Amino acid sequence: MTAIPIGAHLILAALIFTVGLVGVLIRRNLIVLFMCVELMLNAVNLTLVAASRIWGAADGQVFTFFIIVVAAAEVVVGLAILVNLFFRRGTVDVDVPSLLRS
Amino acid sequence: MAIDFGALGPEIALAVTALVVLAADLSLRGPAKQLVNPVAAAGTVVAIALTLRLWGDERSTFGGTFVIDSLALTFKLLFLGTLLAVLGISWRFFAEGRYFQGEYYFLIVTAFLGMVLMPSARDLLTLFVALETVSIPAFVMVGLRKRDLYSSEASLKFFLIGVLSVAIMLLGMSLVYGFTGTTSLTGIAEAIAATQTPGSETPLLLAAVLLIVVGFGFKVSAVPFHFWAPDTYAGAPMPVTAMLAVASKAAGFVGLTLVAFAAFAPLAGAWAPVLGVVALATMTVGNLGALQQRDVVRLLAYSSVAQAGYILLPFGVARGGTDALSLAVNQTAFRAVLLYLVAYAVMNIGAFAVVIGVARRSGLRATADYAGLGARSPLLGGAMTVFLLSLGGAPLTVGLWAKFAIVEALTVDVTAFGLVLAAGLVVNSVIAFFYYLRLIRGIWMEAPAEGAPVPQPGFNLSLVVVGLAALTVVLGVLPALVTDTTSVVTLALGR
Amino acid sequence: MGETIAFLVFAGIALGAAVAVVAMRNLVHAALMLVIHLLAVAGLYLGLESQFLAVIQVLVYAGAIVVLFLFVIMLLGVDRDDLLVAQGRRAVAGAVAVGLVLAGALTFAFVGPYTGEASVCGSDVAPTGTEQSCAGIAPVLDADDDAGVAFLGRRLFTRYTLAFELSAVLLTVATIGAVVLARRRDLSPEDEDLPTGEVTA
Repeated sequence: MTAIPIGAHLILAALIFTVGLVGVLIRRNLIVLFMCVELMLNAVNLTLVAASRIWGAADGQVFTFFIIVVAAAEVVVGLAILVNLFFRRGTVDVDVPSLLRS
Repeated sequence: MAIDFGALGPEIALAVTALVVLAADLSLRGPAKQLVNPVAAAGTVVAIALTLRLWGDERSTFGGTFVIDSLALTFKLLFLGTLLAVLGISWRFFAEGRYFQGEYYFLIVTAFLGMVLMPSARDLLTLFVALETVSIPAFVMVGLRKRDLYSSEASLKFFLIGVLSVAIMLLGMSLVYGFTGTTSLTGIAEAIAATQTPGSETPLLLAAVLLIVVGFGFKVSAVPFHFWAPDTYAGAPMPVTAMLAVASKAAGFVGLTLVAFAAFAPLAGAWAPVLGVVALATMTVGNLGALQQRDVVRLLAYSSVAQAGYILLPFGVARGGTDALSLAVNQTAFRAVLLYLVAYAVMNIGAFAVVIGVARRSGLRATADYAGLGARSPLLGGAMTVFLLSLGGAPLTVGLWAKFAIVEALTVDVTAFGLVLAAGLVVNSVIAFFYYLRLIRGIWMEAPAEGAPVPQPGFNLSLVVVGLAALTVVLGVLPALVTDTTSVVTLALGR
Repeated sequence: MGETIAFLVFAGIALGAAVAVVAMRNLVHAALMLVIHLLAVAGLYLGLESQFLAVIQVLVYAGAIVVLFLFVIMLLGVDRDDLLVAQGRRAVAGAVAVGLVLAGALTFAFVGPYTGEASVCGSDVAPTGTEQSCAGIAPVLDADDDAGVAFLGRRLFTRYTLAFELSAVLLTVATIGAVVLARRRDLSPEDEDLPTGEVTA
């Protein structure tokens, strides 16, 4: 038996999510932005797996499974958009704060 | 476990249609490629027939994660009707614009497959996967105008916002699962009702609920998450814009309705005021933004932000209790949302269809280009007038009854907050009328510019425009047609 | 004791690598940090009695997704990010402040209900007040003897079959979308679209 309470995993997941969110807000390279979104999704997965253990049920693990699949699909489409954009304008930098304004 | 394939009929029909479209696109060459459009339309008609066959049934399969009831079937019909209309306005546009046609039709059918599934989903996981099936094809479709940098950037913006909102929504969902131990919507409601006392809920749970609401707020372009909408709408191919403004937004509202009323109804005291304030801000920002637009697509984009605000209003008065009055308030609120979404789909697709008809071959889309449209094309000018009047909520159009339903929902039980929301709706309707009437005045009163072309909308588009304009007026004169149908739709949600 | 050490090591690596992804200037290095992060999270999954997911994490995330990232970085030849951050110090400080508030709020919410003696999985300590006990998956795993695959599969192929089928559609969409968007040989250029773009005010 481990002596680590389940809350330790939840706190770690919250910290990883925060790191990813801050990354999205401050970096401007699109590829890094996508990686930061992956960090956020990973934090969600960690929360779900920990919660799955809390309840001794499989739902959280199945949810994680689907998030991994959807994340893969999202990354494929996102990188395709990025490649197309790179061929149009020759840079992969964006300014997220200005994107978030109209 | 036996799977009830009959209940899945519409979804199976759409999935098969998507694959047939893909195969047909491979085997057709050159101009014949546009024939995938009628193939997709035929598949949609089959799906509609299969949906109608289920009418009146109450079924559920996959352990209760997939449910057929009046709510699900009504929304399925709304989405499938929208798909038919969007296919109608897409044909000429994509056949003449040299797009990847087959891929476009595949993507739009799969996006609608996700939408048709959403109102049946009664589980956070199924809801999430269905929502992504709506979003991911939409990311690609927005970027279909590949040679246009503006379109590529619109698609990137839409993608980043979409992915971020999903990550935030998923954090909320994971916390809710950690809290309740189930992903079933009714299970969550039961767990919350069993563990929480009204007025002293666990802050973590409230935060999780708000994160999920924020995620859906992005989808329906509610303030302060509306910034992506005008740019994305203006950059996307126009039929895709119509799809995003109507169907994708309606899907967001379906998801919001399900989580709000099915899973988090006991916590309505926490989320309802937030959504009410967001609704007020959304319609005001949308209408004030629309006042300044000179591009018709951007004008309609801001107008659709404002319309999202109207649809959010009834959520603002939702109640958490289980007494008769609270249930009546929630039921009326839900019915107003449903009625407004139906009306909104009819009039907004109509408006976008006219914009596509005017822009065909000429690319004209500034408000100034609509000067004298009534003289050049009485059909398009007349139809646009009907749609704009209806969006504004004029008498004899369905828009009036939709707004009336919202006011009714806000005043079932008269509260100060409900009256503030209703007053906001009235003030905003007046502001909105200003820019709708300005455009209508241009269409009829101003002389067309020198050498302005006569729009040639084409047969399919004319058919859609005439059909939707007729529907706008008929439902405006005989609102009972739709209110009687929606009155049987109840917010039982499998409880 | 061993599991505590394992958790601390993997948690430290996962968090450190996550920070490195955000802070690295070289994109290839950032991608490699992402691999390390994902592997450490896979290690955490093992500690959480989710062996199957740990394997999936390594195969799909570290094996496929990061390779895709590296592939695009190489294809475009953009391995250095000289700007590093988007905007001035004030905006960075603002973003970090937002992050600290979020992390602080979540940590504050977790400490207490989830960190007491009762929240150690499989412990016999009865939860008091708002404490949340942890059932643990060990009983199921002991009964099944297949590293939890049957446990996961039963749920996946009964209740969530529809979502599973839908994810197949989703992957097809992603494939076709990527082909359409990233294809460089376009339809013939003389067939330009209708004039587009914003009407300048």
